[in-house]
Amino acid sequence: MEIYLPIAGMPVNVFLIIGLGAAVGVLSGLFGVGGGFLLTPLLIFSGIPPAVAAASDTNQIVAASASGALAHKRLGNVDMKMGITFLIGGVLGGTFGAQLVRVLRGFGNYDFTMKIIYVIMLALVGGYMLIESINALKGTKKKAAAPAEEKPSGFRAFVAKLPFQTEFKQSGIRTSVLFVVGLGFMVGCLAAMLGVGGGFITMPAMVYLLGMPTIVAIGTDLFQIVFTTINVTIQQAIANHTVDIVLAILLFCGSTLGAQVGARLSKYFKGEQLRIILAIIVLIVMAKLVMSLVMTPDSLIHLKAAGGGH
Amino acid sequence: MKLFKKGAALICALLLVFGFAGSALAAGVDFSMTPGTVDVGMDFAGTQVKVTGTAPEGSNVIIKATAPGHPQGLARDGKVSGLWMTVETATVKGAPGMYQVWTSGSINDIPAAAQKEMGVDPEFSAIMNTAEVTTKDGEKTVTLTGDRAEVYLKGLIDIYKEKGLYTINEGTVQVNNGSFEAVLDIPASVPRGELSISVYAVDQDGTVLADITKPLMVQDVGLVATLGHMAHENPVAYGITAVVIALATGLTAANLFKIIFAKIFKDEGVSAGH
Repeated sequence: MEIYLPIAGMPVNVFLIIGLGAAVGVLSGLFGVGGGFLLTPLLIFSGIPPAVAAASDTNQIVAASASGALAHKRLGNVDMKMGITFLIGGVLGGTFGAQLVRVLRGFGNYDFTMKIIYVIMLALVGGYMLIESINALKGTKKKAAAPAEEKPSGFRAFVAKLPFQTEFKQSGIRTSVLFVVGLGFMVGCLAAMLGVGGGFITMPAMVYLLGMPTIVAIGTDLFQIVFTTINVTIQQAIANHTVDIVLAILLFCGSTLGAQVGARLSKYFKGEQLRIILAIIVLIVMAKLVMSLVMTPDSLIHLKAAGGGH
Repeated sequence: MKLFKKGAALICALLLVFGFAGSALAAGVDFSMTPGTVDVGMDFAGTQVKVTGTAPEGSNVIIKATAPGHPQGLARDGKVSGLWMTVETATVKGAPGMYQVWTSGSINDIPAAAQKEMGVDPEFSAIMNTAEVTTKDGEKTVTLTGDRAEVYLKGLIDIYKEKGLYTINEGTVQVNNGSFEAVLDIPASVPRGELSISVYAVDQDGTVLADITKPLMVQDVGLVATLGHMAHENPVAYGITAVVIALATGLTAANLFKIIFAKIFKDEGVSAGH
């Protein structure tokens, strides 16, 4: 069954899009991670123009994270001071990112830039997960964890020297406002460039670099994701006309069902084995993106800014 | 009463004169299309338009569908440090946004002069001569010529061919005793606005006996029109609408799951984890 996407300006198979959303939703439910970093590349592989894929994915993350954020807020897991400080950077970064997308599309190099960032990001995330889970399976978890502990302490010393140190009572930490705003800016910018929530950066940064309790980090991350992606959706609509509501809703229908299935399945599997599978999937997607960058394209000429217009 | 009779006679005379003039213009070729417009709605995946008409007996019939060309931004890839990226951009003006031809016979049987007269161009080479390719050199706009322009034009033709916008369909018009019939495949990527549908009747010597051109309107309808228009004309409202719909859908789905899971699994369901 085909449905016409009004902003992408093309018909798509409804079941393919819901299926992609569901597949990424299952992974997201299984591993407790957001699926944005997989969903955007998979949409691109399916022929959706990259700018429309990223902006519409951001739109569906608004839907996917709203209820979780609300639930964590009710449970008192959101550090509001941290969340709002982070959002100052997040909103600025998202607004800057959407403008950056516009400029890069003007030069015809948005697709290239986003693919490069994706390759670096997926290589880091996939590589780290693979090594960590292989080590865990071998029983050498302690050795692997050792350097991770050293690194943050050095980094924390650097952050401690930054100006505007302030107390974040709920997280029980003291850190520089500049660092939190800077982190928010980077995450906001990535949300606009790649169509991701940025949990894969925010979570380790909050837990390892800032030393926040994991549950408060999860709640605060979800809180910031909702508002960062709301801002990015509006900014993309204004700067690039690339938000396809129909695509976003289809993706959400798939991802929300998939996430429920995934979360229930996760009880029956071992964490390390699952993480190896996710790592391999992430690395395969990365390899496919690398191929598209190094292989000679079928045609050297392409439309400068596909999608988002008639 | 006398005045009424005189008036009626005058109207009849005028109708006769214009009636003859009209048929003289059409000169033996006419056609109609079903449907009369192409509506792009949520279920649009390309469509078919049936063309039926009359042409002088024994003639070959050629149907041509063209769309006006809007300036098209193109990018050329080059290898930089082993990676393929855009190294130059250009704008092509004057290339039709659609160029499809359906014929009753082989296009090669039509003499070059007749092909030129009809603007029927199997290799799309006329586009190469009429379209203009420009690029930016700093602040200046430079017109590209020769090979540098040809790369872009050939690239654009390939893109349009792949989208089904540039096609040559030989032997697809059925001619029978002075009438003809064809089914035009209109691709999903058809440009919005007015298409020109021309029908030509060509005799066996390659002389164009008659031709007629009619417009075919391609328009967005329903949700495609509403959302597409809003996204471009009022992007702030569109962005806010997208956010409100996402929040409403997200929260409704979460509550639905809670109700369903409370009944099936006797729990409150699980967070999406985003």
